[in-house]
Amino acid sequence: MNTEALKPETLIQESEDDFRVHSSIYTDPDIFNLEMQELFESGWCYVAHESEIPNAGDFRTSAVGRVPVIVSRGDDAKVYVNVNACRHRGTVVCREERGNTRFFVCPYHGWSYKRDGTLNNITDRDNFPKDWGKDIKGLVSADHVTNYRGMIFASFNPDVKSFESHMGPLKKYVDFWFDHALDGHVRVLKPWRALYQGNWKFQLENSTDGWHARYVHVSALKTLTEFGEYNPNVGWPGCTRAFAGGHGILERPRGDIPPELKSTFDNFQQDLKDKYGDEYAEEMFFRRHITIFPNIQLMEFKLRIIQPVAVDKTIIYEFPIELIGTSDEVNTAIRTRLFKEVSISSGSPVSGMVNADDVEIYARTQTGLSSGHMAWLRFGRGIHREKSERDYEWSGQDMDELPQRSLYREWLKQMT
Amino acid sequence: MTILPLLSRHEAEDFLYKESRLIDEDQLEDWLKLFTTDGIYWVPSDESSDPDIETSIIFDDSRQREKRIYQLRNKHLAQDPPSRTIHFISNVEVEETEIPTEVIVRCNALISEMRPGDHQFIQQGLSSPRTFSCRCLYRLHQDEDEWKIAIKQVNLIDRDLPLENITFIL
Repeated sequence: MNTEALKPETLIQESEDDFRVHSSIYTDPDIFNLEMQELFESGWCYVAHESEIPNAGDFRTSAVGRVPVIVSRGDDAKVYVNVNACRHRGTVVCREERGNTRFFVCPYHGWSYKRDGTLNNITDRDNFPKDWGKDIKGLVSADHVTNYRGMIFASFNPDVKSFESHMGPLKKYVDFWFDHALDGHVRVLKPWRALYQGNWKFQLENSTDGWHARYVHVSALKTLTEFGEYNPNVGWPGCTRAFAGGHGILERPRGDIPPELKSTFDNFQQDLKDKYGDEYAEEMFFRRHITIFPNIQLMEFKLRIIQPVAVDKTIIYEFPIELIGTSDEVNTAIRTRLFKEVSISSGSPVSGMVNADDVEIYARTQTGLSSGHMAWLRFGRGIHREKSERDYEWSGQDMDELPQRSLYREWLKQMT
Repeated sequence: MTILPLLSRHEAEDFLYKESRLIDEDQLEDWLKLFTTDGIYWVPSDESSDPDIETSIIFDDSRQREKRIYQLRNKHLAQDPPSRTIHFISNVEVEETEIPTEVIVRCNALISEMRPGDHQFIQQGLSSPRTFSCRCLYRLHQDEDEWKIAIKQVNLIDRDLPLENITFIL
């Protein structure tokens, strides 16, 4: 690939009163390949949640960009991330999505690997020169693996900066999200899985887009209003937040608690106040969509992973969470909200009343951009009131395209 | 209430054909009436899971079904234009249950689906027929003198994979 010819630095154009993103970043396969290298493999890519592999020998297969990996729990209880390809001829050694095993055995010539990915055995050793293969220690491992509050991240960049410095000031809000669990930990449940025919960044942009809901979700809002399940909040409308590192937040008050769950949520907030104090509990209790660049979204009691497949094809995984240490009553109420779609912020992108309309828009936008003759996408809303110093954390009105500008500033930084 | 005799396969087929016709001909308000008041329409991603505590593709009680149809009638973007479907039903089997007023009906369904509206063949998701292969299980409950759906369970052949747009009725 000739990255010189791509010139990513020409594809984002910012001036004092305009912000343009070139359509090729959604349609060009070479740009996509570079994104996988620079944003996913060289940065920190989420690969699993520790609650998916609690015991020694537990594993799940995952991906860093398009690199297939096995995330496994070793006998030493540590988490390992290895490339899912045999060191002999490259055959995929593990096909299951998840499970428990003593060894990963290649089906081709029987080479085997231990739970942590180190080499267990090369078959028929007698037929090799004496020291042949001594350099093969195990599966190719990720350069770095880290765990932040149960989220496991991997990087194939030996010089990657620490995850905490990547998160920067977003940490406060990520901690808010996890602190909803009274023990500080969550367990992820089995995910909803959805595919859409569009670029991965549409989903990335959309979750912190406070503007689209009144158009895209008009049918969902009308339905919920008709059934007495939506109460348009008349108070403070919320805000957007942007952070160095490309992260962003859409924040609103919790105005959508259905009446039958109100007392449960009141008790929930009281528990949080008792544990953290009034001020912290009030601040953490807002409804937030938190994007951790490049592909994680901490939603209302859901962990969303955006998995790019090709420049115009994307998988979304949505893992509902259980709050550890929190009462069964609250966890049941959260599940009721998510599974029965009482909340407007829930539901499967395949069949739900809200998210299915979002992915419809992504496919429609991919179609609109594919001709190449709609050259520039415009992200100008609120740019005239955006503060100029952008080195830490800054905020805008709830419908400003502020988080989107922030993520493309980081995109530009990492791609050039 | 007189207990109806066990459904014959022929009667079960008539029931399933009628349901298919109501869906395929967009008479969804009448489709709603086929269910018992506590009836469930379930499309699992894992048929061994408990839908109350684990995710499903669809897990609708009567209120959810009514909301689903209401949204379909009110510019649900993912159904604008709406899907056309044709249901093919086969391999029908009827099984008694321990309850005299309930029977289990199993069948296979092949559903051909398409959203029209793009005569140029450039729009993602439109004018491109899809096929859904399903193993279905119905629990029918005798309600007065007719059979109604207590559970309609649709096991898609690719239920555990990432799927696209199932905002129409299977």
